[in-house]
Amino acid sequence: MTMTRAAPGRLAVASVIARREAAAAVHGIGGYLALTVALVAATWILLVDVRALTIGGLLVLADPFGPSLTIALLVVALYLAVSAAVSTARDREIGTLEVLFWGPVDEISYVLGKVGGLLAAFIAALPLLFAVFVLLSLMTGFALTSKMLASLVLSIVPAAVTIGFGVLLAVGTSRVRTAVLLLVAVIAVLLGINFAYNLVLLVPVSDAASPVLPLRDTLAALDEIVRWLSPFSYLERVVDAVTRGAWRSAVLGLGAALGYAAAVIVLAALWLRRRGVQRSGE
Amino acid sequence: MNMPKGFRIPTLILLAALCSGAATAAQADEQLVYRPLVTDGTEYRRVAYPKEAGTLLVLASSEVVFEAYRVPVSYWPITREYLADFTAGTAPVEGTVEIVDSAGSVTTIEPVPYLTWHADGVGAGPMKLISGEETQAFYDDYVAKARDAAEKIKEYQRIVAERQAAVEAWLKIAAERPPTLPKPPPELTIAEPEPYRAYASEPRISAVTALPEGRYTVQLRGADGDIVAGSERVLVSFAPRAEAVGYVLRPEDRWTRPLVTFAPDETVYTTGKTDLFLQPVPVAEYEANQFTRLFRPQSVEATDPSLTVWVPRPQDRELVAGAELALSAEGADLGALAQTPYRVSQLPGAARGYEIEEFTPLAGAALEPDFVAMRLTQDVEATEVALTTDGAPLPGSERQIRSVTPPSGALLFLPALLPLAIGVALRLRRRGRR
Repeated sequence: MTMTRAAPGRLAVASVIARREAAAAVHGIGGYLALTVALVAATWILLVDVRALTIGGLLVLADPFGPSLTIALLVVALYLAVSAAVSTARDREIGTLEVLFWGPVDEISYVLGKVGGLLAAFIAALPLLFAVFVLLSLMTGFALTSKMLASLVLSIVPAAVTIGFGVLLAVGTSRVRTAVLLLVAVIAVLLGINFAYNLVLLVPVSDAASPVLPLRDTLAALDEIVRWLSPFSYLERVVDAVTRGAWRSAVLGLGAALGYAAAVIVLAALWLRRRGVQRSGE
Repeated sequence: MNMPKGFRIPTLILLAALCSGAATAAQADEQLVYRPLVTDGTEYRRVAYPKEAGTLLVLASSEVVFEAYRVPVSYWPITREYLADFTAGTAPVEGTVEIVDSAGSVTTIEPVPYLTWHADGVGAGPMKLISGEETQAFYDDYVAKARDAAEKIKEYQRIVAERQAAVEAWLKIAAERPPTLPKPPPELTIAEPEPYRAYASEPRISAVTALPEGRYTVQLRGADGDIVAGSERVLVSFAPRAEAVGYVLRPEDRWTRPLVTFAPDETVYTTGKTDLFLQPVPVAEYEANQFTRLFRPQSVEATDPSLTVWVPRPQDRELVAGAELALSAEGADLGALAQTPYRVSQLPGAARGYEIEEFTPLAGAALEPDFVAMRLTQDVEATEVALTTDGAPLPGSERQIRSVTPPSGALLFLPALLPLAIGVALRLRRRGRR
């Protein structure tokens, strides 16, 4: 008699991949190092207010930890995007991807597993982030607000966007090095446009025929496009809206982030199907 | 034409830039431009609305003067604005201003005389719009008072000059050492008249109205009974989303560098090393997108529609007049502080310091206090303050005050090492298990 077992469902497969991914992130030292870097950057931002208070003796703040939290989350999100890209490219480079697809794994369950695993690692890092902010609050006397806690919780959705973005860029590459370089290049372009636009705005223009004007207007249009393309801008938008108590904007930002996350996951799965699971040169 | 792949995107950007540059050469075209006199609650300004500027914005329940002109409009690429040219001194377009509300009912705004009134002087204190039948009488009264004040100053200056001449004459006599020296001229006993600071513009006649919050259409009906072409424009009258009481905070050791707290959810942090002077200010919260465009309707800043801005409303200062600052700590009442006038006096000597002391007005003297505030001394351990009238707190006047002693910068970085410490500990533990 032949025993047959039903193939596990797509979500079950994705959760197995996610568990493996999350365990790798939690057991590796890289995540802890990234959290430390994120918190050093956050403290550095907080020091601006601390110094202003120490020098002036007086300071008025609605949410002292708002800017620090944004920076910390951006650094963690950047790390997650790189991790997602490295992990995805490595799966192909060492042949894991091919082995996985001999089993019940398909493109969408693989991408969902990758994103879900790193997102679980991000969620696991949130209590640690919060604990450090509690310590900073006790040391400085600056008040922690409920908006900060809400920002932490709601940052999960835009974090999924950045992880999905990393997977999307790496899913078609054959080597880890290529994936990382591609991600760095895309991020550099996204940040570079914003930086260049802000730089051009500083150029004094007194002549209506100045060549700076068309450049400025072009960069303004590109900057507007980048606002919708950059996964980091979604994170910034949601956290900033919650910090300001602009709940409508926060909900809209969350909706847009959810849509973008779904789009990058589907695109990554489609690209993976098109590209295939073989290693390069096979 | 075949183009290398890598050059396509830069070429597209360049083309877009050139197209954008071509837009700069746009010729001025004549159009009907509304130029209402609007207020932000503090001052009145004329704001030009070419059709490209979009919806006209006014503060709800504030008086607005509507005027429209037919003038050339051209694009100014530097500020990315369409600018109307009023330099030719064109007269306003003749016609009757009509306001159509969302229900479709039309209100005709009849022209009335109006003037702008600066009670505390130009650039000092809030501006007001005086309109209606009493405008001319108001202006005549202003002119009479201003002339009277000018006459008094002139008379005072004449007396001072006469006395000065008498003193100089006496000094000449005294220099010759006569056997009998006449008495010197007496000291001046009359006080210098207070300068008249107020200013009123000359009355003009235009359509003046105050609109409740809502969305309207403004249009101009010509003498022929038809709507003037291009005069139909959307008008939004917006009201504050919330009202509260803010404070101007002056530390005793930096009184010229005050901080403000307008939003009620803000916390005041202090190191507790100096006294604080709290000046209450009525404030209102507006949608930033609308408020920032009141005076700059073509601003290119992409403001988040949910962003709000708290602005002072000096015209409502009567709301906080006579109110007290109630102090409490962890719910325990610590008393109340009254609003007191203060004057800053320079200390003599090399230290070049100053002292903030209570101001006592002298009869007949023109001296005024530098500010009116409530002094929160550093020894008072209040953690909450609120402005009260008859014991009841004014809405939105509550603030938390936190006296803190932040540690040095290096110490603050210690908590950031916590994740690394946990990561290393977990790794060592796993290695130990193996």
